[in-house]
Amino acid sequence: MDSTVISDLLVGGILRGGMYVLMAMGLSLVFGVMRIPNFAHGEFYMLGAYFSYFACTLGGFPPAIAIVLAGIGGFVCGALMEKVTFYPLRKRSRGDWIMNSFLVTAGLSFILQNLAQALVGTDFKGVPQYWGGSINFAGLSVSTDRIVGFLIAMASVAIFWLFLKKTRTGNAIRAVSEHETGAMLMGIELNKIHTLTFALSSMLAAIAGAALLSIIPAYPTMGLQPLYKSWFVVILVGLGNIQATIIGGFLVGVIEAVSSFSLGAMWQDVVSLSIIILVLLVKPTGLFGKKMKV
Amino acid sequence: MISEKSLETGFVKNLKHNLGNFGLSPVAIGLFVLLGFAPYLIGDEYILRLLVISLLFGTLAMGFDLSAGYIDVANWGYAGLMGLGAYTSALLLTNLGISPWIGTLAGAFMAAIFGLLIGVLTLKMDGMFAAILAWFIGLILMALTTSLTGLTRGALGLNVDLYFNTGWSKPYFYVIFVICIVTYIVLRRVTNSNLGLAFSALGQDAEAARTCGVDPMKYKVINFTISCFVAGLCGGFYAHFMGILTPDIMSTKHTVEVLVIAYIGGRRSIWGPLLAAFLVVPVFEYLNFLMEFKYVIYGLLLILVMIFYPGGIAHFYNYIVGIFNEKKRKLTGPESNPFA
Amino acid sequence: MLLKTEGVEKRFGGLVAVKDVSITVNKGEIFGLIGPNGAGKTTFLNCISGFYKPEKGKITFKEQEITGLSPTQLCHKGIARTFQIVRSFPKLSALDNVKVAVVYGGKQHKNPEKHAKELMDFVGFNAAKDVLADNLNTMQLKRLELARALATNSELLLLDEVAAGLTPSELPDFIDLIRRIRDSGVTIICIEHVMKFIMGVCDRIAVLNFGAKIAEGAVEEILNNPEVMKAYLGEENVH
Repeated sequence: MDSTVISDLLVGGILRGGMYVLMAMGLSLVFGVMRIPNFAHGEFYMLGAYFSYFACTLGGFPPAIAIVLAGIGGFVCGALMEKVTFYPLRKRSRGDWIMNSFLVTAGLSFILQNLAQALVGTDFKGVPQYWGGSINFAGLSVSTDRIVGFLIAMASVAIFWLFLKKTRTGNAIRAVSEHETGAMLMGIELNKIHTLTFALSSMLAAIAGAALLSIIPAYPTMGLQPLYKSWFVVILVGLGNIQATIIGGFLVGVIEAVSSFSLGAMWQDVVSLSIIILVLLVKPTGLFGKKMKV
Repeated sequence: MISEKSLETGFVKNLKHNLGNFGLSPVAIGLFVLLGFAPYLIGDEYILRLLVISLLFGTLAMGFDLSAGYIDVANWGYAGLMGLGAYTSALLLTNLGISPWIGTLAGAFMAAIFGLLIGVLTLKMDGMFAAILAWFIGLILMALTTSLTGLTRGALGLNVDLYFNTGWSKPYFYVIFVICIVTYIVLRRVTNSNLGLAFSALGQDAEAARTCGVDPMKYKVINFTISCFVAGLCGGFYAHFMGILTPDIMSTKHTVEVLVIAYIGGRRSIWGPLLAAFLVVPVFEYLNFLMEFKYVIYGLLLILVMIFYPGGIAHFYNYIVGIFNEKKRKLTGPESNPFA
Repeated sequence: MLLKTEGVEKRFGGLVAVKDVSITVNKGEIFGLIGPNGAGKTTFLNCISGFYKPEKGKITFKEQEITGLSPTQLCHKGIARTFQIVRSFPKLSALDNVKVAVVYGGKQHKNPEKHAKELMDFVGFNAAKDVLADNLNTMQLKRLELARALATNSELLLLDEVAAGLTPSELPDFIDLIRRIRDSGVTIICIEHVMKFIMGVCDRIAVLNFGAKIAEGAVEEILNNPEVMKAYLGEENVH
C-alpha cells in the first residue's frame, strides 16, 4: 500500500466512524441510563432522514435548517414513544426488564419501518446534494457534504458531551446511569430523566440520518445498517461506557474501510464480527467494559 | 403396586403418569390425533397448506420458547439459524446429491453447532449478549448468502428439490406433523426433567442457581444448542417444502414473527407457543391484504403483550387452573394439578 | 478447623472493602461476623462464597485451598449461602426451589423430591409445597432459602442477615432452628445485626470495621472489648 491509499482509507474510515460515534453514543446512553437495549435506534435514523428530506423538498428549507428540524423531530418522536411504551412498561414490569424492553423496542422498530413503507413507499427519497462541491484535504478530494456531515456529527457529539458534563440536567442523567436508587434519593425525577434520555438519544440518531441524506437517500429499512454498526461499536467497547464509544466508532470505521479495501465490501462485516468475537473471547465485557452481572 | 380392586383406575393412572412423562396430557393427545386426521377431513388444499405453515411456525416457536422462556435469552438470530439449516440441506442436495432427509438433519446439526459456539462465547454474560451476537451472525449469514451468488444464486433464489415428487401438501403435512410431535415431546420431556429445573433456575436467578450448584455455562449452552437445533431442523423442512430459497428467509422480521407467536402463546410452557401458531398464522394469512399494515399490527401486538400480559395464553390458562384448583382444594383438600 | 482465611483483601477500584482479614472457624461452631454498616462483612462473605475473587490472601476449606473457585464449585465442595435480600426462583414451586439444590448440589439422591420435602419440614416451611415462590412472604422465603442451602449437603453455611426483618416473637423460633441446623453437623458463619440473635446462637465472633478485623473471640469477651465498643458507639453517635 502506498501512502495515498493509506490516507484515503484513514480519511474514509474516520468519516464513516464519525457517524458511528453519533449513533453509538445514543445507544449506549439509553442502555446505561434506562437499561434498554434499543433495537429501534436505527428507525430514528430513518425518521431523521425522512424529516430532512421533506423539510428540504416540501418545506424548501436550506440544508442546515432541515437538519435541525430533523433533530427536533427525532427528539419529539423519541419523547412520545418513551411516554407511550416504556413508561407504562416500567410501571407494570416485574423483573425481566432488559428482555421485555428489548422486545418492545423490536415492536417499535417493526411498526416504524412498516408504517414508513406503507405511507411513503419503498423507493429512495434523497436530495442530490446539500452543499455540493468538494474539498481538497491531505491530497485527497472529498465531497463537501461528507466533510460537513462529519463536522455536524462531531459538533453534536461535542455539544452533547458538554451537556452531560457541565449542566445540571446532564449531571442528573449521569447520576441515574451510575446509581438509579441513589439518584432517586437525591431528588432526581426518574421519569423525566428517562424521557429526556430517550428523546436525546433519538435526536442524535435523527441528526445522523439527516446529515447523510445527500449521500444515503431515505428508505424504510435504511436503519438496519447503522443499527447493527452501532451495536458493533457498543459491544466492542463495552455496554454503557459512553466515553469509549467515541474511540470505538472510529475504530470500527477504520477497520471497515481497511477490510472492504483489501477483501471486498461484503467481507467488512465478517471482519468486524471476527474482531468482536476475538474481543469477547479475551475480554467478555468489551475493550473498556466494566463487569456486568450475570 | 396395584391392588386388584383398583386395577382399572390404577392402570389408567399409570398410563396417565407415563404419558405425563412425555408431556402429553389427554387433551394434548386428543388434539394431536384430531390434527393427524386433518388431511382426510379437509379437502381444501389452501387450508391444508396453511396448517403445514402453522405447524412449521408452531415448531419454530416451541424451539424459541426453550431459550426465551427458560433461560431468558430471546435468540435474535433465530431466523438466521433457520436459514442456515435450510441452505445447508439445499446445498448438500444440489451440489453433492445428498438425500434431503439426511440434509435436513445435517442442517439441524449445523445450526446447533453455530448455537453452541455463540453460546460458549456469550452465555457467561447477560442473555442479551447471546441475543445480539446471534443477530450479528444471522445478518452476516444473510449478507453472505446474498453475495456468494456462485453458490447460492443470491437474491435470484436457489431452486431446491422437494422431499416428494408432488406439490400437494398432504405428504409434507405428515413430515412436519412428525417433526412437530417429536419436538413437542422432546422439549416437554426435557423441560419437565431435572435439566428443565436447571434451565428455569438459571433463567430466574442465575446467582441463586450458582449457589445451588447449577453450572450456569453448561446448562445455558445445552439449552441454547437444542433451541438452535430446532431452528435448523425447521429450516431444512422449509427448504424442501417451498422448493425455493432466498436470503430473505434469514431476515430479522421472521425472527420477530416467531417471537410474537411464542410470546402470545406464553413463555415457559412449550405448548403455549404451539397453540398460538394455529391462532396467529391463519389470522395473519387472512390479513395479508393489509400489506405492510400487517406487520404494523405484529409490532403493536408485541408491544401490547409485553406491557399488559407478558405471560401470554399459557399464563392465562395457569391462572384459570389455579382458581379451579383453589376451589377444589377448599372442597377436598390438597391434590396435585393433573395437568402439571 | 474447617475454614481458614489468611490476609484476605478485596478492592473495588481504589477502595479497599476488605483489608487483611484472617479468621479461623472450627468445625461445628456458629461463628458470627459483626460490625457497623459498610464494614465489609457481606463483601468478605462474598469472597468466601466465590462471588468475588480476593486480590490478596488465601482461603482454605478442609485443608484445601479454595481461593478463587466459582460459587458452583464451592457448592460442590460443601459451602452454601443465603443472601441478604432473599433470592428465589419466583416461577418455580417452593418444592422445586429446593429440588434444584438437591439435584445439583453435588450428592446423588434416589428420591430428590422426598429429600426436599424432608428439608422443608425440617426448617419449618409451613405453606403448601406446590405454591409458586412468587406468592410466598418474606418469612416463608427465608425458610425456603435455608432449606435450599441445606439441600446442597453443605458442611459450611454462610448466612447473610437471616434474622433481619423478623419480629421479636419470631426470633426464638428462628434461633432454635439455627441451633438445630448446627446440631445436624453444619458449621455456620453468620453476619448479623440483631444482638439478641448473636448472644443467643454464636459461639465466637469476629468484628470488622472499615474492612479490617478489629477483634475475634468468644461473645462476652468481644462485647467487653473497648475497641469494639468504640466502633459501635461511634456508629451509634452518627445515627
